[in-house]
Amino acid sequence: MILDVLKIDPLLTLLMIGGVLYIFILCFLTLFYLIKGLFK
Amino acid sequence: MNHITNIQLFALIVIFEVGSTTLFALGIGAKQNAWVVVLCAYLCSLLLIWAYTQIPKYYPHKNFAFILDDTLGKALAKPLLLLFGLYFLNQTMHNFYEFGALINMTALPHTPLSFILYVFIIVIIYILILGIEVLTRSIEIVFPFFILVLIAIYFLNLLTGEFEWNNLQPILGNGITPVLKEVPNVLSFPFGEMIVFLTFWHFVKDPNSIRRTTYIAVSFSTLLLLTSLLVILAVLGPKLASHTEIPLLETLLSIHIGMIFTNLDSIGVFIMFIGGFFKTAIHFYGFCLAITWLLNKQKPNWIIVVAGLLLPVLSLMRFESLNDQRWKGIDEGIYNILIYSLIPVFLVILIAVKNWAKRKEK
Repeated sequence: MILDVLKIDPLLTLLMIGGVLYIFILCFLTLFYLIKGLFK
Repeated sequence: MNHITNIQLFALIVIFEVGSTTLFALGIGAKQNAWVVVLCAYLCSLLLIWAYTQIPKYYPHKNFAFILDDTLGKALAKPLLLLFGLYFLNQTMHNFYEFGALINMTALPHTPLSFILYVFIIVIIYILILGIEVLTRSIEIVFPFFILVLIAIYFLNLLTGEFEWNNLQPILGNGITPVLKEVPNVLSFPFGEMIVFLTFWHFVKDPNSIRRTTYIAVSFSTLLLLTSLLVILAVLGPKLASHTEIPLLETLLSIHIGMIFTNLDSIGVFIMFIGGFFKTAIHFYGFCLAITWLLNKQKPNWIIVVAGLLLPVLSLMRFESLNDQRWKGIDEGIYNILIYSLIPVFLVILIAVKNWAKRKEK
């Protein structure tokens, strides 16, 4: 399972958490600019 | 000046895509339909590549760090650049260890792996210090040889009595579900790995031709991958192909034509190594560029030397064996590649929405 690797590979863990976090940040920013554009 | 021509970009992409995939039977989870998996993944990858090549259209001749800074602002761009750098380092370590272990296993069984890795990295350091132009020109030189030998291997396999078309049947015998399950894996590796080229686009002389060249190169690579898979499946059969450590090497051992074309494994290993060598070098250069931009330095030379000399130690500490490396890299690490290959897609959407909002504001 993926969790087994994450437990023993810190680099992969960091990359996974960071990657998922940034996908959320990018989605949030897109939504923000979309709303900003719509209400201008 | 550091510039890449269209032909060099084509050779770079093909060697990168075919590179370490010669070590695997891609999509073998779908058994004899593995080639259908590659075909489906290729079709999906066209969308990914569209997103990757859209970025240089928004920012021609600008490096990746500038694009991130401009899109996200410095506070959010720097950590993302670091993450991309670490991702490239992660991929470098995997390719580096994998091909070092391949040479150790096949050509130099009595030589310590650490020695092979150090010789391997010293050549990479030397090439990369001379710049991207030397890297691309060396790829341009070995490219025809690489392709010709690969095609010759496929052709010679056709002439051996081991080639069985029946091994490829029935096509979609278990329905489309096993194929669809495997598509994300092949979409990530090797197509999603193209993300490293985001750090190279600003080197390309003519930014308008990036998309066309990339599409042609990826299509050509897919043709080679498909042929390779068909040969592996037809010669070994799906069961043996899925259990063999390096399937292409196994198919090479089956070539015995007129007592002349025989024992081609050493040539095969050499060709595989060329692909792996350049794939490692490209990922490593991507990592060094990301760190150079992060530290606001002009040249990546010191980072190449320091990180390069540490790389064999780090790889040997991280991986216990080839099986351990494959478990961490392909079996489980594939999700990691998928996440990072999708980030530029979200980035392109963000740039488009941001530009639209700006236009509306005016």
